[in-house]
Amino acid sequence: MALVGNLKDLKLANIVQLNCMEKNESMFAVEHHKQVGRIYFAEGNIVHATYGSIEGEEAVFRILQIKEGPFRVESNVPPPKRTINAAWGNLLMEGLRMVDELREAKNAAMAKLSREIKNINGVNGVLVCNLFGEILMEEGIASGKRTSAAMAFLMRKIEKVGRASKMGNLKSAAFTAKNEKRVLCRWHEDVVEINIDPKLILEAVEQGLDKIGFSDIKPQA
Amino acid sequence: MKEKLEEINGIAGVRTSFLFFNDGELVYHSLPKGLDADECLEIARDVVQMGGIADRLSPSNHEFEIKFETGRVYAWLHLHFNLVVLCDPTVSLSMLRLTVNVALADLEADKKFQKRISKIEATRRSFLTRSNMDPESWSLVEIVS
Repeated sequence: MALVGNLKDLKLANIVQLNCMEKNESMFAVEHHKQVGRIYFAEGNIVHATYGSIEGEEAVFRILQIKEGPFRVESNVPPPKRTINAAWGNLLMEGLRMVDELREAKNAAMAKLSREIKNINGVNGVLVCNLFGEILMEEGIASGKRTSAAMAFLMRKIEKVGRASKMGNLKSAAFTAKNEKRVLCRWHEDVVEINIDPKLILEAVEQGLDKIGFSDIKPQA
Repeated sequence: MKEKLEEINGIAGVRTSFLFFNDGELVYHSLPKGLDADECLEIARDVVQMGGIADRLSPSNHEFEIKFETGRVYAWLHLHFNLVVLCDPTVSLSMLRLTVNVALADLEADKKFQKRISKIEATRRSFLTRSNMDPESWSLVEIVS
């Protein structure tokens, strides 16, 4: 019988620990951004892993970075081959250390991004969130969980409209309501919401973003 | 209604425009090349769902301007009806706004049109249902609600 769940509820480190300590022969699979990551357990260790076209330890490190996504663990699945020989404890420690480093680098990049956007004329506040509505960074305004969930929803729908209308990827979007205007754009895997003066036009914000090199600021060093 | 859409569709760079009522009725003048009626309906529903979420943050009329690599989507969302315009990137936004504003004012003053929309009890939020979207989008709707 397969164990199914979501990584936001059960951490991968715990799943690895359980399968290795119980000496299970099993396969863990997770979906993330249309990629599938797989980790194979046998003889009390991690023996093989894949993430897209990546194999071995690098695949484990990539999968450890996934914070949310549906997973399943299937018992009695033999590994197709062996690409990992390191002890699972060492592998896990190294992977989690890399996850911490990447998180710190991303936080620094987001702080730089938010600060620079906030300095664009007419910008009142900036929110960075992921597609699950989790707030990653705020500058200037306290938006709250409802706003970040709404922005994540809007971004998902915008991208769906882009596909349905065959117009390609999003460049930027402006949402105007009574007394408020929000600009929404993608920043790598995440969503940036910019709260602007309602009189400001979208092109002015786009020019400001070009000036600060918005698309060149990377979430990881 | 169709005359108004015809005027909008006459602007250089406009691919098509359609009115979508909150009860699900879709009114369009002509389908653009490469899109069928079902695809237009899907776009309209998604735009209206976006409006439903925007309503939850700030209940008012809304205007959306969405720029993609090879096209633009503009939407004007009023209480009972939603106007969606699909355009080329080269469309003159000032000309479009001018024509749309006149069309919207005419529709607001059109008694027959007003009678038609006064019977609509559904709101944009009516489209924000679990059966109308994927589970991840629905979990976001629940947070916003």
